[in-house]
Amino acid sequence: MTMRKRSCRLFLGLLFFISAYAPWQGLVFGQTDEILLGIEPEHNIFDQVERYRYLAAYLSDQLGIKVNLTIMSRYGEVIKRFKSKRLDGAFLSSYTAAMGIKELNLEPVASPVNFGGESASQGYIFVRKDSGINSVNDMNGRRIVFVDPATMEGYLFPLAYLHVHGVTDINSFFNNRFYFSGSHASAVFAVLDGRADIGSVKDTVFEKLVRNDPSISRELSVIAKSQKAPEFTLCVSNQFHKDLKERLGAVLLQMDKTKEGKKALRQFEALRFIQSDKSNFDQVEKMAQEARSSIHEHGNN
Amino acid sequence: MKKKIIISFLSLFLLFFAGIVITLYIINMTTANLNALLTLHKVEIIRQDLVISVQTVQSNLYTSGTLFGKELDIIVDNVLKLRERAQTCTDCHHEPAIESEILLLQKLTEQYKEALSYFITSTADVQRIQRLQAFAADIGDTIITKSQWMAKTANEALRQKTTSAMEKVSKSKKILGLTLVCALLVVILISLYLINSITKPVAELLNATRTIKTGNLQFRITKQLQDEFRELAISFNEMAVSLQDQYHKLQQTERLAVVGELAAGMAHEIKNPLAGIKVSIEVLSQDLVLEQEDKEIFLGVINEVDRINALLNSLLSYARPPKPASVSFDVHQVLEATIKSAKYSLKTSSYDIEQKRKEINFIKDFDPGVSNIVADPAQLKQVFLNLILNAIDAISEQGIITVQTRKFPNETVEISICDNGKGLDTKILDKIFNPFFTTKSNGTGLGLAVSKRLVEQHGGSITVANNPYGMGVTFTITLPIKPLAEISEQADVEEAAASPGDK
Repeated sequence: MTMRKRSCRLFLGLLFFISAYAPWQGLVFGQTDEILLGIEPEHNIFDQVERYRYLAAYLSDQLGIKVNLTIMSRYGEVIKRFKSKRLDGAFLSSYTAAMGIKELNLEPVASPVNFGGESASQGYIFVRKDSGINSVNDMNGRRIVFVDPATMEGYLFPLAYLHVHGVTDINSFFNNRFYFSGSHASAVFAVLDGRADIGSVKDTVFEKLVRNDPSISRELSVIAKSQKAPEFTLCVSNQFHKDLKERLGAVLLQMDKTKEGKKALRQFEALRFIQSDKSNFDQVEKMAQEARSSIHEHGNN
Repeated sequence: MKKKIIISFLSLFLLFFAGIVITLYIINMTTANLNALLTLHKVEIIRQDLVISVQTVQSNLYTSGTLFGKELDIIVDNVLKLRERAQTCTDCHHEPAIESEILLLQKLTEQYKEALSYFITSTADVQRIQRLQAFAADIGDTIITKSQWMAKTANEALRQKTTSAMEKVSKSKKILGLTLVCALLVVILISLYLINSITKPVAELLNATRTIKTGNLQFRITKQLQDEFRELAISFNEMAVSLQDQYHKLQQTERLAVVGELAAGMAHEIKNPLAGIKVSIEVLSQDLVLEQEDKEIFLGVINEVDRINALLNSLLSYARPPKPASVSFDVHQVLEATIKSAKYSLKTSSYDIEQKRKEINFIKDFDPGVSNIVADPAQLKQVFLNLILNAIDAISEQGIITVQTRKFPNETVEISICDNGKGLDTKILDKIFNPFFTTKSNGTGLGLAVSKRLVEQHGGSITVANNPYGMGVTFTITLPIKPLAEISEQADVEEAAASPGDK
């Protein structure tokens, strides 16, 4: 191998290295022109994207970099996207955030406070009033709809609840008649439409649906509620530049202090953002541990 | 005319204003029609876009989960675009039926969105997923069918509205054209009327002026002109009358002047031989021994020579009046003396017995405010005496002669001599001051003419008029208290005295 060939290969290798790692370098050193934030499906995904676009526009304006959004079709997908698509950050539900912190060392930045003054949410187990279900025993052999295996309110909580009430094998308990609606709202509609007898849902989604259609509260009844956990938290990758993270956090926490920020918050349907840290997810991890045996027993669906 | 011009211009302004209003209205109407068409076309595009959006989303739906499936973010963008399109439809004004269809379409779009979200986010067995997919697809198909139906309906409506709008535009163009033509015609008519109203009378006046210029002073404007031109024509005719009078007077004055000069010249030439004749007759009558009868003939010749001499003197006085020797004197004293002379003349009249028999009462109405005047007292006495003797002649047996003086603020005095005699025929009043004009059988016709020359020589005037009530005439003499030049000089002196600071 001649000296010229070696030099050529070295140059090409260097070029490849630079092109492959340039985006990361930019992100790490805070010189990137755009960032990508993920959204987990919760309500109607189209409405949800519309709502988050107001926030993204405000952040783009304040940070001076373009903030792009991408929506997930599944709750758990966000973890994969963090790994494969170099997601810079995501608005994560409590369980996904807990998993992300644990597995990917994601860093929580801030959580929104909803119009009710709450930044936390809890899980509901609900049934149709005409189903005759009032306790866990009544659920035996009926159809249950979960939201997604990656949700605290829509999966972990009902599993933990059932486990506490002596149900260790949900396959046999429900005669294998359970499925995942994908979103909290879909779970509510599934029970309402009779496609399932029991459902699990996040309280904020449930209450919002009830506000929009009061007849829902006349048809459904909540039979169990979980402890509260942070509803949504913006978590960023551990590769995210520290300065940019701090600026992002500062912008979010100062939003309710400016006119434009208030307007964006109103469109985003939140009162303000509050700071978040990893300790907020300890109880979720605890709940996950409680449910883990059930998950282990019925398998990861 | 002024009123007509104002009304015409006001009419033109109103016409212009109406034209602007009509034009603006038509332009607005046309623009509104075109805007409506444009909007309809936009709506049509929106509907077509809506159909395309739904078809795109349907395509995304059918290919979801396959190799041809799009990323979720693209599907979300497509669905949001679809929603935006569906939302745009309600931004426009629609008929209630269409509005209802659009609302239904929006409702379907929301359901479609919900079903799509449900399908995309659901985790279930294949059959359930397929059912969810079919459910969403059915809604999508319904939206496409409805959108296509609406597009078809809209197309038909658009075609009809386009035809209607184009008809309205065409009609508007016709109305605009007709309005402009009518406005032009009205403007032309008003302009012609105005031009005729001005040029015709002006031409008539111009023609009259030119006719007068040629010397035809008898010419009058007989045509009935309108408005201010009528007043102008009346004034013009009055001016022509005045011009004619002045021209006649000038002619007469010139003629009289020529006659006077001629008479004066002749008088001067006649007087010398006449003096010779008189002296010769007197010498002959003294030297010769004549019969009484012959002596009377000689005396008659001498008297006639004297009469000719007096006539010649009068002619000379008229033609070359002596320059007045002005002094300040009391006019009342001169009048008193004149009346006394007249009375004496009346008593001692040697040639007319009838004069002696007359009983004349003189009334003196003197204004005590009348002070001295500056004039030639002898010439004025001649004038007064002439007038008083004429008044005596006018009275047949008994009568009253009133002599009156008045002072006027404009530094003039008026002396009037009024009798209650037989008066004068109005036809001869104008001729009474003409030389050689007389109503007396033995008059020379120079007395009043000379009197007029003397009064005018003093800067005054003399007029005659029949008395308004009763018989007789009144001669009125107006004289300046001082000669005009002297008054002017005095005014300058007074002015200078009033402003000593100017020196």
